This record gives sequence, C-alpha cells and structure tokens, in this order.
Amino acid sequence: MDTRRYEMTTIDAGTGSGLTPVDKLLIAAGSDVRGHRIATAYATNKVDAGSLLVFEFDERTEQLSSAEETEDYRGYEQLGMPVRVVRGGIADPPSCLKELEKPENVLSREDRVALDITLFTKPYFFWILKYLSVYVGISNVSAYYTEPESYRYSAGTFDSYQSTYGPLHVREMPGYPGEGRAVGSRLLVVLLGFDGQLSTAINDDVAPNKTIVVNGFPSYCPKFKDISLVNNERLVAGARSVMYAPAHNPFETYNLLQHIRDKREDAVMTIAPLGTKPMALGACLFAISNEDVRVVYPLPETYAKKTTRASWRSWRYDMDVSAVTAGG
Amino acid sequence: MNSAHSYKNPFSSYNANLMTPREILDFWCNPFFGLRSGEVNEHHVFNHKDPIVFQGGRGTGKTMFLRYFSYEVQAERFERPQGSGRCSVLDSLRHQGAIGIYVRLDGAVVRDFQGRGVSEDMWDKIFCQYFELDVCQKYLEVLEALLANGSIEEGGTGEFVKGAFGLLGERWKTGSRVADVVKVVRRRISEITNFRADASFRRLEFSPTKAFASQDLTYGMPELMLKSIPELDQVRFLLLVDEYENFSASQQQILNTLLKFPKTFATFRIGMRLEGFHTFETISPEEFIKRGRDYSGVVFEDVIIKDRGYREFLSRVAAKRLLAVPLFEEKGWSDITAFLGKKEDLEAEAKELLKCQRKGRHRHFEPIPTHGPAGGREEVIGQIECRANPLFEMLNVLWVLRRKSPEDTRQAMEDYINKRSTGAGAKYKTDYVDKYKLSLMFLMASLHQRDKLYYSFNTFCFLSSGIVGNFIELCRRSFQLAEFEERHNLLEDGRIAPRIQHAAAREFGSAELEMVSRIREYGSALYRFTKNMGNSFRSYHRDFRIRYPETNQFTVEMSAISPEKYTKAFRAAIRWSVVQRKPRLQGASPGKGKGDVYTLNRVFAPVFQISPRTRGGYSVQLSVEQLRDYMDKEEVESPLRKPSRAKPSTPSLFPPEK
Repeated sequence: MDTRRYEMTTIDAGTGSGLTPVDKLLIAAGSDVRGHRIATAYATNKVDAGSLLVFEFDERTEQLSSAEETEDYRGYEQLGMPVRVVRGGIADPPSCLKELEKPENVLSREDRVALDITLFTKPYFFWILKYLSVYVGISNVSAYYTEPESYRYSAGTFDSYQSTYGPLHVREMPGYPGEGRAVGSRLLVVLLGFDGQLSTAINDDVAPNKTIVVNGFPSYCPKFKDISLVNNERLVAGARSVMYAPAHNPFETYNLLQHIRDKREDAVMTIAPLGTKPMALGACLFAISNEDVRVVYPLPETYAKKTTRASWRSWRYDMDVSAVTAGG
Repeated sequence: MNSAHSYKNPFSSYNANLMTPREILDFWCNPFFGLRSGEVNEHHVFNHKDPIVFQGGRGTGKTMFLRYFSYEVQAERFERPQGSGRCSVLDSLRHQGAIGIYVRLDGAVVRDFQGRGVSEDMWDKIFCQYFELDVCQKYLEVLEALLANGSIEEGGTGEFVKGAFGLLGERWKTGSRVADVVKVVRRRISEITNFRADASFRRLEFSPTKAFASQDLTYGMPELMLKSIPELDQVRFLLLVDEYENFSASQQQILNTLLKFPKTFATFRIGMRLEGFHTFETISPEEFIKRGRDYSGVVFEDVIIKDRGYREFLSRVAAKRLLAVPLFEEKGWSDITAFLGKKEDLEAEAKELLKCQRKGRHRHFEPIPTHGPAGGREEVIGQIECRANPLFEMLNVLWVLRRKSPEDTRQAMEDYINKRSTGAGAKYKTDYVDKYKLSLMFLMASLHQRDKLYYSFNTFCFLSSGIVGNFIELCRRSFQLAEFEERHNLLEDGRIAPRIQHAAAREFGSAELEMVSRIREYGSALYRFTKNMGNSFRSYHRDFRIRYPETNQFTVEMSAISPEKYTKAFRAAIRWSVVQRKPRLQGASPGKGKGDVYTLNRVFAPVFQISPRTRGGYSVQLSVEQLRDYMDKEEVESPLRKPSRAKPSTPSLFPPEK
C-alpha cells in the first residue's frame, strides 16, 4: 500500500512556535475571536505570511450589528500585513471564483499556501482545497485550526445546540458529486455533529442502504462525544454501526474512511461531514483522493452567529493534497 | 441465548429506503388491502396500462409501496421456495404482469443541475441526459440479475448487446457482453458527473459523446430488450419513480412528457408528496398532463382515512414487527393493543392527575366565581363534588357556569350514575359521554397545569394522521423509553405505561415541530404558522365554557390566498403534511357552505395539548390576512375571545336557566 507520513503540530500563539512561513495565508473574516488567532500570531511573531487573502461573505457582513462586532470582524486590517479581500456568497463557494482569479489574487502552483479553516464554512474550505489541488496544481497545503473551548447551547441544555437556522437544503458539496452511479448499494458515512436535525435531514435525503455513524472520540472534552450521540439519537438508532475517530485529527478520520471503503468497495459512498472541522478536513482529503466519493452537506438559510466560546488549542496540519493516501 | 437478551426494538427500522428486500417482504402490508376502495390492488398496480400517481405525506408508505413492486423485492419473493412447482423468477414476474424498475434520485443530485453560470436550458438538457442514462442503468441492473439467476441465457443476448452499443453511440466489438454495455453507460454518466464537478471551478461546455433526448433510453432500451432477447418477449416494465416532488418544474416537464406517452411495454407508477406536481406542463408547448385522461391518481391518506380500514392496517403492520422479535414471537405477543392499551381511560387518568395534586385538588373548581348567583364557591363545591370521578366534577363546573343551579346539577349527575331515566340524567349522559368528556379532561389538565396524556392504540392511530411512518415512530419511541425505564413491564408483562407513551408522543411531536423550521421550502414561515395555529386551537381547549369543543381544524379559501408566496407556502405545508386537507368538502361550521377543511398534522397535538381526534362541528375560519399573520408573526392573538374568569355575573332580572 502506498503510504505517506502526515504531520500535525500544536501552535504556540505567544511564541509563534509551530507556524510555518508561507506566501499566502487564506482566512475567512468573522467576529469570532478564534478566527484571527493564527493571523495575529504570524504578525506578532513576525513569521512570514506573505499576503493575507481574506474571504468576506456578504451574509456575515450584513449580520454585523455593533461597532465592536465590526471591529472584531475587520480585525485583520490591524495586523499590518498586505491584505487582499475576496468577496463571495457564503452559500455558494464558486461565487468567489471571479475575484479569486483576478491577477492580484491569483495563486500559482509554486506558492506556499496555508489555509486557516477556523471560520470557513465546510463547503467553502472543501471547495478551496479542491480548487488549490486540482485547478491550481498546488500539492502541499498547511491547514490551521483553532479549537473552541466550549460550545453555546441556545436554551442551556445540550440538546438545544443549533449551528444553523431556518430551512435546510441538502446539497452536494460543489466539486464533490462522486461518480454519479445510482445503482448498487448506497453507503452513507455521517461524521456526527451536535445538531441532530442536520443528520436526519441528510439521511432522509440520501436514503442509503446502510448508514455508518462516526463519532468524534477522543473529543475536545469528554462529554462532547455523548452529546453528539444523544442529539443524533434518531439517526444512531437506525444506523447499523457507530465508529470513532479523534475529533482533532483529520488524518485518523481519513484512515477510518479508507478502512470503511476497503471493506465495502462495491458501495457508492457518500460522506456527510457534520462533525468537527478537523474531521471534515479528513473527509475532504479523502474525497479529493477518491473522486468517486460524494460529499453532501445541509445548506441552511442562516448560520448561527456564534456557536462556540473562547479559544483552546490551535493546530497546523500539513497535507499533501495531490496524492493523499491512507497510512500514518 | 436468552431471547430477552437479544431483544431489539421491533419498530427500529422505520425507513423503507434502508430496508433490505427481505425486510420489505417481512414487513409488507398492503395499505389498500381489504378497503372499500378496492381498485388499488396488486394486480391493478402491475397491470394497469396508464400511469398511476400515488400521492401521500411524508411517511405514508409510498417508498415501501413502490419498492414492494420493484424487481429486487419481487425477485426475493419468488426466489423463496414455494412448494414443489417452483418456476423461474422471470416466469413468476411475467405471470404477475410486469417487472418494476425502482427509480429514485435524491434531492441533492436533482438540485445540483443548476447555477454555476450554466444556462437553465443547458441544465435541463444535461438533466434529461442524466435521467435517461440513470433509468437505462437500472434496466441493465435487472437484466444482469436475470442473467445471474438463470432466467435469461447470456448466449441469447448478443443481438441485444450489439443494439445497445448502437443506442449508446459506442462502437460494437465482437465478444462484447451485457457487462460491457453497463460499462458504457457508466462512462456516459461519468461525463455528466465530471461536468458537474468541473463546472464549480471553471467555465466549460457540456459536450457528451452522444446526446440523448427524452425517451431515447427510458423507452428505447426496454424496446430493444423485448425485441432482441427471446425470454423477454411480451414482458412489460413499470417505472416506479419515487419522490417526484424533488424534481424542479422544468425537470418535471421532461418527465411529464414521458408520463403522457406511455408505451404498451413500459409505463409509470409515480410516488410523490401531496401537491408534488410543480407543473402539469410537458416539453411540448401547450401540451399538459391531466388526471383521469393521462394518469390516474391515488391519495394515500384519502383512501386510508375514508375507508376506516386504517386501524386494521396499523394493527397488521405492528403485528408483523412484533412477531419479528423472537421473545414476542415465543410468547405469541402480536397484538399492539395489548402493549399500548386499546383506548384511553379518561376517568382513571383524571384520578391519577389529582393524586399528584396534594395541595391543589380543587383547582379545577376555580372557574366558579368566588361569590356568584349560585352562592360562595366553597358552598357550590360542596354540592357538586364527586371524588369518585373528577370528570363529573368538571362537567358540574361547566353546568354551573352555564347557569344551572348546583342542586340541579348534582341531581342530574346522580340520576345518570344511578341510571334513573330522567330528562336531566339523559342530558347529563349526552353531555358527558357524547359531547364533552375529552374536552373536560383537557380543561382539567390545563387548570391543574399538567399535561393531558396521549396514550393507547386508538390515540396513536389519531396522532399518526393517516401516516404509517408516524405510527411506527410513536411506537418506536414508546418501546425505546419503555425498554430504558420499565424493561420488566415491557418484556415480562407486555405493557407500556401511559406515562411513557405520552412522553414518547410529546417528544416526537416536539421533534417534528422543530423539523418544520428546517423544511427547505418556507420552513420558517411554516414553523410560525404551525405554532400560531396550534396555540390558537389550544385556546379553544382552555375555554372554561367549552363553547367550541375540541376545535382543531380550520378553513381558508386557498384560491384567495395572495401574494403568491403565501399560496406556495401553504402548498408546501400540505406537501410536507404539516397541514392536511380533509378528504371531503365540509361545512366550515354548522350552517355554513361547504369548502375545504384543513387540520394541523395531529402529531403536534401533544405539544399544543389539543385533541387528536376529528370531532367535526366548528372550524376556525382563517381570512387571508390572518393566514399571512400566522406565517409572518411570531405570536398572534387567538381568534377566540377569552371568557371572563371567576367574575361574578351581573345581577339579572331573570332567574338562572334551569
């Protein structure tokens, strides 16, 4: 089996240890404090970040309701780094293509690129990684992610967690339609999140022959793994098996997906990455290297403004997005 | 192993899409079997030459129904030994009348044929290409299965393979087999999938190896099979297309064209939600499809509810599931009413409710004025109290509020209890048994700030609203909670306490209500509408004078709804079974003209504490303005004017009514 080593490193934002020099650092604008931690660490520790490519979304800009929020949102302007802004619609990642291909923003295969996925929605960073990998031709990308210290529960109880509001449209992730084969056994792998309504909506829409549920364990905090099981009770009750992958490690998720795939080679595989962003990152890498795998995601009317509290650890994941395969 | 240890919730498989063919057969119950609407029998479904459209809400069993007629399930059925004279699967299918090809495109795929700078016309062409190839792929899947089980000889398929290569625009090579045709189809589908992937990143033209128009493969491929494979001579195909509502209007135009022109060898059976047609147009200008002329329609809820066979159907569905659990099979426990109880026992429930009210036993007497024409409240209570049955007390309160004297009320109650044939006793019986018993229970629960419980098979039948999936989910949650909280009672006595059933019903209602807000079409508006409508009905159930008992339906003039977005939202409410139209036109209220009457899905009843049953009589008449308010506003005022509570009535010149 073709294997390759992966690397994940914790970041010390105070000293800058763990940061890697890059030509372009891609971040999403947002008022969550976690979103600027990495860019700030680059600036304060004078680690070369080249230029900052900031993705701004109309929907988030419209939601800003106070001067303080706006200041947080535009925090990147205070970093003293060269900044380029790319605007797009949060529900439609390809909408930023036009701005991304402007001569001043254009990325080349020689660029050293890092992507801070903390404030990107999952469809966006899935789209960006595939764009970098397949259409720009970049083979190595570093992804940063800052974990939340805890989550917000709207009514105070664990089952009241909601990351999205309003009507849901289950969509294929742009660029990840899989092979389009509609015959044979359909396998749905759901990376569990806290929001049980999302998983039910996806399971009903995809209507697989078999559903495998992957829970994040070890989780950021011991109780999180139980919250996701409780909140997804309906799906878990109907699923034929529950598997586990560490919540903070995309490569273990990748390996688990590979393992599932090896056991069910004939099945048409669909992944719903509803869990943590590092787990979703693993699913993204897996789908990039397995083009026949489809990725679906529920697109909401609106995302919750804030779903987390404070920052915890930050990670850097070094990935070869051109030829990622299982192994460790 | 002890069978109690291997116990598994009999209702845990609820999604027909997830079931294996064997499970479909094991759990199959024809919803139309034994009903007076006898036209929907299996023979009819297999053999009727025109398309049939089956409409029903989410969970009504459309997928189970369509899948039952599919090749994979019927093959499983006929592959089971059936005594000595076993014939081939193909012979059995031919005898049935047709081979079913189950087609379902999930919403995520269907919705991907849009945007990214590609014109709508182009996307429609690409979708048409995809649909043709997808159906073609499914025909070939059946053909491969027939080859595998020996119904067809591979040697006899040469002519077909050659023809199929031509049909697909691929050069034929000597020695090619059916498997090679499948590969060609997959390559053609990949062209579309690759385009869909690439279109997200760059602008490009769709240029397939061969473009297919509507009918080229959906009808072209089976025609070729019949002509060139001797074993398939005279065989008919049924295209069982599920979730038709997922297709956009322009996609439905393409499929409607196929429906309009069925072939003798291939026709359609469509499964869709209510209001699932987004258009009746075809791709030919000015041509449209019409029910009765181009297709016949069956609405699951209409047939099931109208026919009164629904309870028997649910009972059979439950029995099959219960007997699939070894422990229950051993004990012969196939009767769901034994687990849930047949009907509610309202008297017992009322007494149980008061047991928990240590300090506030008399709270349900509070509507009586502290100093009214009938005397002080305590004095009145002394007259009308009946510890043996709190619901009598509740009715007595109602009578006193309606100006009957406490003495006469007590007398009427005693006449009824002692079966004395007096006019007052008869009136008391009518009020208690025929008119108000359930309303009294709702009112009493509300006055004691407790939930009215929802339990028993009868109640679950009402709550399920003609939707078998709701019934299964109510049972699943009840069995699950019972297993967790009262495992012994469940597995040893075969009973589930009303308290547990109620918790399950309430949880399910709340979960369904939350899901309303996530409906992809107008979810937020429908959530507000459901909440406002439910609260409005609730206010009728809390009316001390029970002026409109068990009011839980409404009327609105659909054709008058404007602007269009509200019409669309209301249609979406029907499509998602948030709102259900009553099968027949009814008078909105006694004395009013006939019109469409709607109910909220009864599954929400435990959340709003409203009656789950149909009593008829009064319907809330919603004006178009009110409907818009219900959809737009977080909270609206109830149309029912609140009765004054515990206020002494104004002195009257007239004596109280006797």
